[in-house]
Amino acid sequence: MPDASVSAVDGAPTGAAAWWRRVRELPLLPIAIILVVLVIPAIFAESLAPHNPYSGNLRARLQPPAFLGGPSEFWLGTDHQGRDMLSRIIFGSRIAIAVAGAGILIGGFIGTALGLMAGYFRGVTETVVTRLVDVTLSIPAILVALVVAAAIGARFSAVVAIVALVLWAVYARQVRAESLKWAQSDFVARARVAGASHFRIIVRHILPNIANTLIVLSTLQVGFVIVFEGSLSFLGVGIPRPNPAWGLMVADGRIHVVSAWWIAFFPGLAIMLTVLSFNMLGDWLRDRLDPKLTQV
Amino acid sequence: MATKPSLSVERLSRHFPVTTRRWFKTTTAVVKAVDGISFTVGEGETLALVGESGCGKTTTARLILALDRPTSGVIMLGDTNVHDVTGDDYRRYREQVQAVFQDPWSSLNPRMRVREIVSEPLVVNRKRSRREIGERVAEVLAAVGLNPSHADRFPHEFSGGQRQRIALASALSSDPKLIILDEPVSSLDVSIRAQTMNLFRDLQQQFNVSYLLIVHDLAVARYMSDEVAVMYLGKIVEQARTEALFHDPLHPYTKALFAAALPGHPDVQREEIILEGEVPSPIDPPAGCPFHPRCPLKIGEICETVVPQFRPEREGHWVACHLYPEETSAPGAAEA
Amino acid sequence: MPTTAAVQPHSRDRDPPAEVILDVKDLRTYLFTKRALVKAVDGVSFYLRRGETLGIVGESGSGKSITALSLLRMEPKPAGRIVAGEVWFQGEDLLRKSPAEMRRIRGRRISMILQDPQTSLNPVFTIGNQLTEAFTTARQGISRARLPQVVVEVLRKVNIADPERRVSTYPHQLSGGMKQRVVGAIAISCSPDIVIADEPTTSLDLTIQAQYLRLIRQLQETSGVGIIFITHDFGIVAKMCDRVAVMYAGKIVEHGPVRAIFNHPSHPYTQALIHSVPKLEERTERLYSIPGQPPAPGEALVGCRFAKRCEFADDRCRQEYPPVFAGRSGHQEHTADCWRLEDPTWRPSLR
Repeated sequence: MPDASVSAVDGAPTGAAAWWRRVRELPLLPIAIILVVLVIPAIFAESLAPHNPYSGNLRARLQPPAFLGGPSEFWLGTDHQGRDMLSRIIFGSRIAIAVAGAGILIGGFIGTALGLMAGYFRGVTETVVTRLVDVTLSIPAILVALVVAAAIGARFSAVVAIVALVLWAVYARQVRAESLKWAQSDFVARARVAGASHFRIIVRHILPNIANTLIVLSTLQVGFVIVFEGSLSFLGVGIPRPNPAWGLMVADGRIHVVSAWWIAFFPGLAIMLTVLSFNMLGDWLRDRLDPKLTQV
Repeated sequence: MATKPSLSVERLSRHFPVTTRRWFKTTTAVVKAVDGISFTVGEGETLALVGESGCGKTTTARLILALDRPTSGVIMLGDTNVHDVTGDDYRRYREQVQAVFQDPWSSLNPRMRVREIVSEPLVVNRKRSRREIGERVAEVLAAVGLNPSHADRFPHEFSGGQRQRIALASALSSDPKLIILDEPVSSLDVSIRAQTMNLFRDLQQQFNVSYLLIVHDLAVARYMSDEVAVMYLGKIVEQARTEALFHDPLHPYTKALFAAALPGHPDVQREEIILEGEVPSPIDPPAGCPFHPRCPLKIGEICETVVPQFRPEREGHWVACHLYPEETSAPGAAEA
Repeated sequence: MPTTAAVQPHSRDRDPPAEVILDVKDLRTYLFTKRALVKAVDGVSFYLRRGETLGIVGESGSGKSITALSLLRMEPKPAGRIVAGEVWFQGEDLLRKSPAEMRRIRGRRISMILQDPQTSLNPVFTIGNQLTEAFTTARQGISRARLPQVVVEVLRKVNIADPERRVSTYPHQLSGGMKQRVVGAIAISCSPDIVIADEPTTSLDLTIQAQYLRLIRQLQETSGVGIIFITHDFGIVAKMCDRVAVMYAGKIVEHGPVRAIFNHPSHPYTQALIHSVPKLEERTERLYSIPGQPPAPGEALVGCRFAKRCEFADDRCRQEYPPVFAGRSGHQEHTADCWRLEDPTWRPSLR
């Protein structure tokens, strides 16, 4: 591979050397953690997990991790129902990805669409959207979650809905500010002079210019969503049992924290590592893609 | 006046309401950004609108580009009234009037390739096939001195002068009748300005397009234009063919602008007319002649009370100033 | 034309030159950026006499502003570093001063007026506060009781109407022209020997610019301050300066008295620039258009920086930077860096 001499048509150093230089600039540690803790387990859960995450052996309950003298088959110990912690954490990554992915996709889509319209059309649209954003951000999301859970019961779709409800406002606020700025730019004026429709201007001129902001924002939101879902599950209004959601596992480990600390500790560690990595990745992306975006 | 007009503007006004809230009192004032101006741009000619910031020249450009609606007045391009067109006529108007803006860094979408930027006026009006569009893009790029291979690049790969060429190519692509040049060289480097101005002039001939040049630099106006209109506080105070105006400016404001302009040589000695104070706020413009508080040649009370009429002092040389009274009608016949 | 050339040294003989108060020798300020080494100022030498106005004229990226900043050791950090040179001021080399000593020189002996009055004034303090601050830090020995009066006087000096009332206003309440005059007031508050003005009028309207330039002239006449005018506009040079240094890509390519340069531009770049600016006074049939673009920052430069765009360049121009030759006006202070000047009969004539 390391042959940079060929394929240099335009004189720039191409090939392996340039590729390697670009790789070294990446934030490798956060990416590695995300891959190891989140992505790879989620994809290969069935083959990676040594045990069934849903059913345990009650005789093997509350076993300490193997490296602390527990049975060698349970690397990270077992919980109060005798389920293998490692397997549950591995399958938990799927829930984390599903909730974060769906919540960000839905909330991001709604928020971006409303933010674009508010920033571009101004007037009544803008007033309505900004008021809705203010209202949404002032509602304590956890309380809404409690009400929803009481009304329709704890389930995956309810968690995603609540996440989206909180996130759309974050997106709408940021996107409105950005599109407001671009809507006043000269190239948008030129597009209007050229006869472009509102739809074309929003989709072809404004949206591509806020794409970086959306990428950075979404990366930074992953951490928030995982912690938020964890909190909901911890309070019992998130993902229902017996699903291996990380937050739920921390909640279950709470009463055993003195005698079997690993039940709460390892899922908590998974949450922390994932959130920290995504925030580091987000900060790096922000510096690279969008230096203007300093808050959030 | 030499040729038939391509664009004609009549009694054009744009007033912005300004609302201030203080406790429970809401007051609404009116900023007369453009206040009843009329002019025409001849076919294949350049009219320069000259003035300082806040004189209304940019608002005028926005009105003609239909980026804003006038409070009153008429803008005619050929036989179409700009603010009265819909559907196909509207699309045709959009094809016929284009613009090049001041800042080449913000006037090109950084996420679009040059090809898309240049072809946008063609694509949105959906009249040509893809192949025709491709040919036209190559044609206008060549006209502005760019290589067809540049079409697949992004704007950030070009310098300021080249970007202004791309903007001009885009404006020319739909074969317009009028291009509004809003300070097209003032943000370019000095050594790039001449080549850009020369290109604008050459392409005007080649494409037979009219320019409305918005500019603050009088020397640029002299070099680029056939006719000049000087604006002050939303009104045109003087208008004439370029050479007539530069040979013998009539309005005291025009004279002061000339005196304030930087010399081309250290030995150039100019009449020292330095205006005191600053341009008054357009929210509360002075009564009478808008220029009277700063005018070094004020003749008396008439300047403070009566709005001077904009009238031809000579053949084709119009001015709004009481120094040049109308001989025939009674002096002070202010218009309503 | 040769007659004017003969007249030039004459007029200088009549007026014995004033002492040199600032002498810059072979100043080099490089920008060490991630991508490339930018030789922003690449061996620049010039001097300033007491009470004189020197214009440093150049395009964006020519290094004129970084030259000005380097004189006060305010080169843009962290990328910028002065790597060589001497800046002699009152018998001392400013480049060897400690940061603390420089702070005492800045604003007191040498002050600066920047392009954008918006950012030069602190928005949360009144005009009076900021001027009082300037006087206090300059330690002029003015008693506290007399300070308000001195502040009002300096505002009156810069032609601000009703200065007693203006001292209690905030910057946003003033127009751009007035703000720039307040910046000027701060710059002259401690009667410096040198004021460096970096494009002070580019953000101002024409008639306001005329007021401001007249003000600078008046202040110079009364105080005898030396001014270094950084500008891209030969018109400013023609109106304001005694001498001019023309910069291109980090080098001073031509230097001399203003009239000598306007009448006998000797470097092809200078001549091209003068011919590419439209004139107000006369009809220009066609402007000379300089081909190409100025070099990009970080571009490797060998030979004459202007060779790529020059009509007269040959192989030697492209390979070897020219030495300093005498300018064509014959004035002893007129110099230019161009190989063509080796031939004493050669004159740049474009087109």
